[in-house]
Amino acid sequence: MKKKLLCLFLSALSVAVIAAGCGGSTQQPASSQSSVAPETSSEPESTAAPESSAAPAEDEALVALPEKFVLGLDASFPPMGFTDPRNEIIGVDIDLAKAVCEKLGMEFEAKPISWDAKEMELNTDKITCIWNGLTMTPERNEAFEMSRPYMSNKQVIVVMNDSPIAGKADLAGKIVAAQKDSSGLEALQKDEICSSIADGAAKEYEDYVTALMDMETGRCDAVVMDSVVAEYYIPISGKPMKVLEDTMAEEQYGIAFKKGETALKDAVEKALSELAAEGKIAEISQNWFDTDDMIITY
Amino acid sequence: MDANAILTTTLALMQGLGVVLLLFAVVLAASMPLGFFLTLLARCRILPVRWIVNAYIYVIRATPLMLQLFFIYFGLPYINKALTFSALTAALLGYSLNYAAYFAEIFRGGLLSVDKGQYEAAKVLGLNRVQATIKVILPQMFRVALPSITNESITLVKDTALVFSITIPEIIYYAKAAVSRTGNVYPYAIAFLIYLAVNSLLQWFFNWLERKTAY
Amino acid sequence: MQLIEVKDLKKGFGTVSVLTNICFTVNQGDVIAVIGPSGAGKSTMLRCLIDLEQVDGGSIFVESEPLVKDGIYPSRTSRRKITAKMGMVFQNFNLFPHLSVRKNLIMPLMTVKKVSQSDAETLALQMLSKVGMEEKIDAMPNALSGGQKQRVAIARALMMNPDILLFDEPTSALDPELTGEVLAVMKQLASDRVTMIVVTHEMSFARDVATRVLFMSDGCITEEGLPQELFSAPKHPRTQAFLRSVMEN
Repeated sequence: MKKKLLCLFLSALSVAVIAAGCGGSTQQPASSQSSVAPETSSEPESTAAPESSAAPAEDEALVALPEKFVLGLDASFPPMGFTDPRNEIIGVDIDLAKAVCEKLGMEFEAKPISWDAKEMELNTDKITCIWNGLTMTPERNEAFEMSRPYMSNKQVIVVMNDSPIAGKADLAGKIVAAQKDSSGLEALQKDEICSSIADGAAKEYEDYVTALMDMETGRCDAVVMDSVVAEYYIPISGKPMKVLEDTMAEEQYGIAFKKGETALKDAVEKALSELAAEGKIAEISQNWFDTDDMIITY
Repeated sequence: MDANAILTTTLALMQGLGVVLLLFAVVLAASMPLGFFLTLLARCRILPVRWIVNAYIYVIRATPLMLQLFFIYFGLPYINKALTFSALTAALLGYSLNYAAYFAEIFRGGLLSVDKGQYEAAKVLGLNRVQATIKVILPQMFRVALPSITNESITLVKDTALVFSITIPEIIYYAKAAVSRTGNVYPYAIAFLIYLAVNSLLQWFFNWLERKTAY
Repeated sequence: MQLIEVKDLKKGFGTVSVLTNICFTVNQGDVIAVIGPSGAGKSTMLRCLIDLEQVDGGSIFVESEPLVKDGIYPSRTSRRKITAKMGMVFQNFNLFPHLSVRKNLIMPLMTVKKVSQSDAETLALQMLSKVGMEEKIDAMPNALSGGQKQRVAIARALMMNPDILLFDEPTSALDPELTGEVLAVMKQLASDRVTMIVVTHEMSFARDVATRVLFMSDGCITEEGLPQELFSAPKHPRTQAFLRSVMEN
């Protein structure tokens, strides 16, 4: 028995020594493969450019497009982008992006990313864009190549049905929660009511689901969050919560591309306009929001 | 929330189990021998080799695994385009290099516990260094290191949750996705039970191994 | 036939001299007892013979081949070839605790000399019966008493068929009632004409079994002679003082 165990251990040892020895070579194919991938994707770009300039400039935007359109998202943001029970990624943004890709002849892929690493993902070309109900801010306009807005969103106040809070003014002295790093938190901080809420600051949560759960158990009195999410979440969870009419801030969603990718951005915007004209955008809006005018058309 | 929904969610979370098991198996198989190799190098007579190995072990243990994964996945391509790894390759590489440093320390402790007389007995019986290491030192070192190895293995299973930082979905990720989809936290409870089940099996295996290698 | 020749051995740890001018020879069939006070360098000298310690000067020839010549060592491989002619039994037994008695005996033989398992096991049984331990062949070392462990260690050394057996205080770690069984085995080996060098505090063994006695003090061989001469009429004052103090106890 012990001999067998020893053999087992030693064979694992030898395998690893071999693996360590050939580490460089076994990784080589992988690395060359993945390093080839961007090259091939950039190749049509360079070879196609003269062709299309020779041919009539029918669709100028097309020439600079990647073969594959990798949409980076935090896939837990219903209904913009989230996962269905079979872990397929679905949502408003996904439907929009798929329609755009079909129009532009790009292969579509939705790639869940860690939200903390989104800048690195984009800057190292591991994703083509962040399309995930991304609130447009001056900072993001600076850091990314932001598209024109495609949807309006409000930061709203969610309370329990039996809450005495009826409007923004009632938040004074109450514990108000928001998701950390969110535009809801930012909106709350900018609002004059912020100084009069409990502790003079929002209670921050890892995500809005935990914030809402905590409101249910009474640890906080109100949650500031995206109206789009609130409208989706409250009916589906069946929880006795409501959205107040007073809002915190108006904002807009945009698509973030890597800085400098103007050709791609323009192509996507053009495709969205065409889709709007075809009525496809209204159809997607109808599907998700039961109204055909949630998505801004140009 | 009915039984059907729970079953659906469990199946969804199970999709993350594959990655966890793959990472666990490959990383353990690679990092233990690599760690032992580092242990030997750290005892090497050539001083610079010792410095480099000890510096490596020090840096790896002193920095978060997530940042190491970031470095391999996002940072290396900046240094050289040829170092662009797929997420899975980067993860296997990152975890293995990380765990090798910990195993190196575990094995160092194991080696220290083997009596000097064992080397001497092996030598006077005519065993050369490799034979003495394999037949005499390693099994005793392994036995001493086993509780720590068990500990590291269990930690590894849980550490796989970090792999989503470089876009590989795993159990916790799918649980989060299910939580935000359903607006209910019960998927976390399912994730809890899946981890518990995996580590219970592991613990059982290592207990058995410890009994079998007892002397 | 001369098996070992030691000339002018010198060894120091830092500025402290541990061995100085050690000279002696060992012939086939000799049973040499090395006695002397603690710290005299007895064990160090013995360990130098089998290359567990290195000397700073002098020569050791084993069956005319140099383990070290004028302080210069040949390659590790040729040293291993020379030390293979010797076996060693330690004060602390140094059995391999993860292996059964059987494996302790057959593993080195199979590993070093590539002897088949069945041949090795046959030999193991012979050697164990020589030390009266054949019944414990499947025991783990930790289940044995100190005396039993040492007898197994002797059998393990014999497995390699050495021309010379070195004993480094083989009974010092044993309870007094267990030393007898080990000494009996060593006595039996002596009567089988096995060449032995025994560092020991067992004066009765040195007197009754040894063919020659070396008395060491302060890193030197102070006196050397036949046991009956050395014990009944020690010449050197250090020897006299040492023998007086051990006999009193």
